[in-house]
Amino acid sequence: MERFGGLVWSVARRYCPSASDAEDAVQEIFIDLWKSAGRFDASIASETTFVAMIARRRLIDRTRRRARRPEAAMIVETIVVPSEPMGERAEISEDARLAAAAMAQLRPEQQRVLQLSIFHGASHEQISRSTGMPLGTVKTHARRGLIRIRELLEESKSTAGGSPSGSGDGSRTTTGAAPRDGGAA
Amino acid sequence: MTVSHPHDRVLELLADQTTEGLTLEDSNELDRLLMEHPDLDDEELERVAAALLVAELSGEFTAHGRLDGLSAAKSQQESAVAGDMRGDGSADMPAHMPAHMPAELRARIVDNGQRWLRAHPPVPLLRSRSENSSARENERRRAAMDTSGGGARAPIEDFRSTSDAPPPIARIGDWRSAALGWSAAAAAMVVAALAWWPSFAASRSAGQGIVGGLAERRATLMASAPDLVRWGWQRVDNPQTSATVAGDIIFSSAEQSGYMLIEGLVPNDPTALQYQLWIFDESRDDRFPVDGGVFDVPAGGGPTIVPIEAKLSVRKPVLFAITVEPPGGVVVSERKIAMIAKPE
Repeated sequence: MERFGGLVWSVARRYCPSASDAEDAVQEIFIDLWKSAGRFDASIASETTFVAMIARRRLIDRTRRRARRPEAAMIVETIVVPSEPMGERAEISEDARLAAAAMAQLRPEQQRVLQLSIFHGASHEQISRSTGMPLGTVKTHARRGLIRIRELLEESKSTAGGSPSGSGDGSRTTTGAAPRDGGAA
Repeated sequence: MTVSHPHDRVLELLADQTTEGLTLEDSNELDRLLMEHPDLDDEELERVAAALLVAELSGEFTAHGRLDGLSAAKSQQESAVAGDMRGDGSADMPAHMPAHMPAELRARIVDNGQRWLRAHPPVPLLRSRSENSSARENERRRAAMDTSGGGARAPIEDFRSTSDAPPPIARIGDWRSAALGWSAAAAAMVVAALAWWPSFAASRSAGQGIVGGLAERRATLMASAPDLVRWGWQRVDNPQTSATVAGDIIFSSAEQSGYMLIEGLVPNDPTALQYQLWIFDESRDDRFPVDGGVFDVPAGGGPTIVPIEAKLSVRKPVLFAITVEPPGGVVVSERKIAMIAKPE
């Protein structure tokens, strides 16, 4: 709570249209965290990333459910971009640092779409309206940009000498590395 | 960049899920594809997005001037538009103004945590292996439905708590104590409760007829909760409601737990509609009842027992209502009420 309260609150404020909505969302996120704590695996992601992942899921879920109602959809008409970072400048984990470095290698338009989507919780449609890009283009940039970052992270892990996606129990492979199972290895 | 491997469609869907969530149709497609490829890590892109978000919140991008896509001017312009829309002046906030959670909210979350722990104490699993398997499958379906994409598709698989394998207690404990920073006592309780998560997850599924676990738990709660409310269902005119209804709802605010015993709701097709419970709390505005969870009524007739999963803490319920909602439920209901329960 002490360590991640600021993170969860900051993310909720970015993704929610109002402070009261963010308050409800934060409560739901913490319940999700209590339920999901057993799934945390330090060999796969940092604690901070894990918490942020659970928070994003819940917030996206709320956004989608809200958008199903016409009046709510009207409220969320414009991208909300408050700049509220975490409380005490959280220590940045290695996976976050690597992800940031990988994102910097994307094409500018891919960066822009992913920033609006991931940093501010904007829907593809909102991004399209805000940037003037066709909706299909937004989707393509989001998909390709994200997949490209994953590939770059895989490359950096391989270069660093570790096996892709950690070892640990090795129960599952990564989305990108796995496809090679069609022929290689 | 072109993705050229056999899992293109899976990656596309996972990327869509990560950035926006999926439609029910896409979610079902992804479920099918993932079942065909159990080797895939379906959370990887979500972790990438989460790591990026953490980096951004930590000021990593600003500090290193890393991104070209959203120039400072452009960012400022979009922030200003958003701030105007919000009417809260947020656009004027400096880039890294600390965002502290309001103290009242913090207190509420701690309170929720304590209630949650009380409501979900560590109890041994009583179900047989087949019951566990069935319950996990039900929960997996519910989770996929419940999140419409952004959400918890993976959790059920990831519990990895088959009836043969003990839950990863040590790992949970390490994380709990290191990460969330509860008091030592609370952390210990959380560790214990989470160690038995499969039990809780399974209990969320509706059970029809005589279902040992749910019926037993319901009986236990009725016998042990001092503040229990128990109200019978009342029919409301709705195509999903039979001519006669029966059953009741029990709820304990102290335990933050309860069960519905339902007879008289038409079995639903979860891809077309679902039922959702709403709890009207004396301490809250009537316009904002607490979401008590989405559930299904399976075909076959007979009474159905459904555990209540209040999304927020309930202090004193004054009315319960079951509504008919789109698959996955809603945040704010249009109140197509099928049944209600309130004091006589």
